[in-house]
Amino acid sequence: MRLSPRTWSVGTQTFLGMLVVSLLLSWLGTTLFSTMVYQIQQEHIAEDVDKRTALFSTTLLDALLSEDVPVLETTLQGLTKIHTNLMGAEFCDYRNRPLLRWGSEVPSCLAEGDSVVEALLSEQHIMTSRREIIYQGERFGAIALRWNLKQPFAALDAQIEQFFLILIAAVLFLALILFVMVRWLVVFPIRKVDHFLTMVQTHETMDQQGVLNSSQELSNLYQGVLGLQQSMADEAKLREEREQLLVSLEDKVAARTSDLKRSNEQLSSIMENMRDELFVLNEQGEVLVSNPAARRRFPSLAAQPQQATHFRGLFAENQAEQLEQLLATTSPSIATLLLLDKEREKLFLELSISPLPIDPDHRHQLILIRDVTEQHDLEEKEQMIAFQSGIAEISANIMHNIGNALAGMGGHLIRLNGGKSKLKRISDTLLQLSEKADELPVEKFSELLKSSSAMVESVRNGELEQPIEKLELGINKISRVIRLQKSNSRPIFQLSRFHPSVFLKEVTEVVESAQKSGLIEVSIEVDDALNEVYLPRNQLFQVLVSLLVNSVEAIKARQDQQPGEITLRLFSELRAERPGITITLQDNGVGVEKSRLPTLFSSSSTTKHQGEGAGLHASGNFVLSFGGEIALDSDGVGKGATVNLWLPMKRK
Amino acid sequence: MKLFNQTITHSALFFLAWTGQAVAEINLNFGLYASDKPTAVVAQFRPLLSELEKRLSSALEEKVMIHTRISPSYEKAIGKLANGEVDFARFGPASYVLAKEQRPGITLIAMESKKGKKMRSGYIITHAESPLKTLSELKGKRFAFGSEQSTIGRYFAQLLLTESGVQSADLEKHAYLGRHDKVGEAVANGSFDAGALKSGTFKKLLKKGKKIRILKEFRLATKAWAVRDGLPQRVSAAMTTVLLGFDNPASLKVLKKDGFVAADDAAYDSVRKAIHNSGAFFN
Repeated sequence: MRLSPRTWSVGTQTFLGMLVVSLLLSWLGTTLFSTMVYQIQQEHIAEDVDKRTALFSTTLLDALLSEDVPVLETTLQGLTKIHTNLMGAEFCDYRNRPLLRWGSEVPSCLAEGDSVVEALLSEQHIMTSRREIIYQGERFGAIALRWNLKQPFAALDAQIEQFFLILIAAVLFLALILFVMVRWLVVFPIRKVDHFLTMVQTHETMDQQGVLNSSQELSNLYQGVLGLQQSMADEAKLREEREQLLVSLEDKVAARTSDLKRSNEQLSSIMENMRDELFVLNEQGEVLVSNPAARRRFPSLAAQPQQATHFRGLFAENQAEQLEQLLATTSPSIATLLLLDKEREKLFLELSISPLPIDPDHRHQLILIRDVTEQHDLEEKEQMIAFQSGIAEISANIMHNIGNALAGMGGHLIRLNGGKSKLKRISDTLLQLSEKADELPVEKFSELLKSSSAMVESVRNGELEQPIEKLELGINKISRVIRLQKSNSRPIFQLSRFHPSVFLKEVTEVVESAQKSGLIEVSIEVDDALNEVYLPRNQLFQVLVSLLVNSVEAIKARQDQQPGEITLRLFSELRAERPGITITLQDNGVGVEKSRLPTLFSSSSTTKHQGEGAGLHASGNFVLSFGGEIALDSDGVGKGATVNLWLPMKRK
Repeated sequence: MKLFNQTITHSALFFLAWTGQAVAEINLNFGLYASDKPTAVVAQFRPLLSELEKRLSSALEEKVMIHTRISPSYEKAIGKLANGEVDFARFGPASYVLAKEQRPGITLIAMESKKGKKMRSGYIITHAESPLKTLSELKGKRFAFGSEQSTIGRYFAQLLLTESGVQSADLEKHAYLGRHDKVGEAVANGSFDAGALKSGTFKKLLKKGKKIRILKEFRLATKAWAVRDGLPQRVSAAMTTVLLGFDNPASLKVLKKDGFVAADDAAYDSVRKAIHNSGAFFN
């Protein structure tokens, strides 16, 4: 096959270009590599010199410290036999006065040492190293050593030269290999394509089979070129479509991002401003998100924002069980928690818990806490008002019925009074008649008596018997009304949830003046595990106040100067398998005779000297009507008393 | 413009002078002779000197730096104090006496003490099984001395021998072995019939089981701390005060003493006498 001059020219040009580039690269590589080797070798030489200087200073340290010149001299002689390239040395004391100078090229302790580069650049390749003699923080002098580095530098030069030659040889060899490979793999195929294209362009009669016959490789290449053109066109089209898709996608992403950002800002604003406390918990019950209201309620969240805070950890330990139950629920639920804040004030929090579908693999919960204390108080007040209104209505009804009866009875009483006046007048007439009995004839007297008797009979029938019967009927009606009312009325208990500590504190505030005066000291003991009870708060309040006032009176009645002590205890107690709470009120008052203990809660019984006994009776009635038990115990007069009150705990 | 430049220059000079004064410090050189390897001596004395630097700085209200200057021999150490190369030094009694004679301006500022005592013991010893009872019986015997400049190891021993009527010519042989422990070893192994050493070394050798006993005990003053001639009075006074009040056991460990007592030059009279009479031993 004959190659055309044009093709030959392109191949040669390519080859020559590559050869030049290879040579340039090899020259650059060699230079860089040599520089690197030089630098490494310089560092080695500097390190070696430094080590030698350190060895000298260490070996001669004792002699330098004591300025012992003979020892210095002897030791130096030994060292010079080993370090043959040492040309000179100077050893100075702490004032830089020379102690010993040695050699043909004596350096100075006062001058700075040379660097390896300086030594390399100097013609003689001589280097001075210097070292301060410092021991235990004190400077004892300095040493300066002069070294002949001709030998290591010469070795280095030889090494670099040898390396350079090897590299040049390697590059030339590589260029040769490259030349051969380019000829076979690039130039020859290009020439074939060029020839083929020339034939196509000049419409030279071409037999496809002939082409194929002449060169199977050329045919394959031609098909390949066509395929490549098609592939490139397809790829360009695909690229254009992809770019359009990307632009559209970017626009959508931008719009969506903007929407999300706006939503996020709105959500943040809502969270910032909402009064309710909001929490998002993870599967472990740790607070992931909380709003400012939550952080205000639980300052520990704000104090440690970087640390995972457990939601249950925000509440008291005695509420852990209730919280566990709440958090374990998988469906939305609402519960009210009664808490005590720092001032032991009651606080009702409504917890709304609902699962949050953030991540299907991990359970998240959204918790909304709302302070419902005010609402709760209002409900309690409304209940109380309703209760009191009911009582008032019943009372008005009773009064109305009794009033009607009494109004009727009033009329009959007037008639009775009229009868009474008539009888008086009859009595006066009979008295006058008796005074004149001697003057009147017997018949006349008898007639007068008969008419008097008839008049009395008339009064009895007209003014006495009927009104009395009517009065009896009125009284019976009043009795019936009272009986009916009594039979219809049942104890009404307004149950509510409240914290026992707060409750007892409020009870004791009734005797606050006595406490402040120092007359009485009231202490409260409440079982810590009991953070709320469900009982008729208002009635129980009245009962306890009544009992507390009794205790205060009992202490005042003691008539000695001992300080009064009242202890109120409240704890859970199971009686006859019924859960309940026991309240004991113990005082060191005047006490009660043992013989009176069994009848104390009956009507009109009292522990007081001048009391009516209604307090204990009413307390007993309330406790018994609620299904509880009450007892008063005392060791006798002057030995104090203890009221033990048990109420069954109702379930809400 | 010239006036401006002058003002700037004067201000700069004033500032430099002022700052120079603010950072001024007192540098003191402390002289010792190498009783051990110099590096070991420097390391042993550094805690004591650091404490001394601290207390002197406080007393003088200026920063004080103390530099250790070790001499390879007694003579060089004495020479350095005498010619003022070091500002103060710790010397054995003989070295102090010789330095003081060389330069009378040298001042003794304190003496080392143990339990308040300023005297210590030296011994002339013999082999535990030796029949010798008095020093006069040493005629014709072999005697081992310590260093040629040693107070106990040489001067006192030679004074006592002379006083007992024994001179160098009366001995079969004598030698300077350099160190106290070498003297004890030589007597214990029978190389010499008697020798002079300090009490501390004697006790150590007995503990090691060396067969030696005391032939004669003598008393001499403890080591002296002296300052060079011409050291500023306020510095030497502060140093005296600091040394006499020195009560740091950790720092004093290197001295093997527990404190210092007031300087008493007369306490070294017996040493002076021994040194002056040392010639008689060789006559």
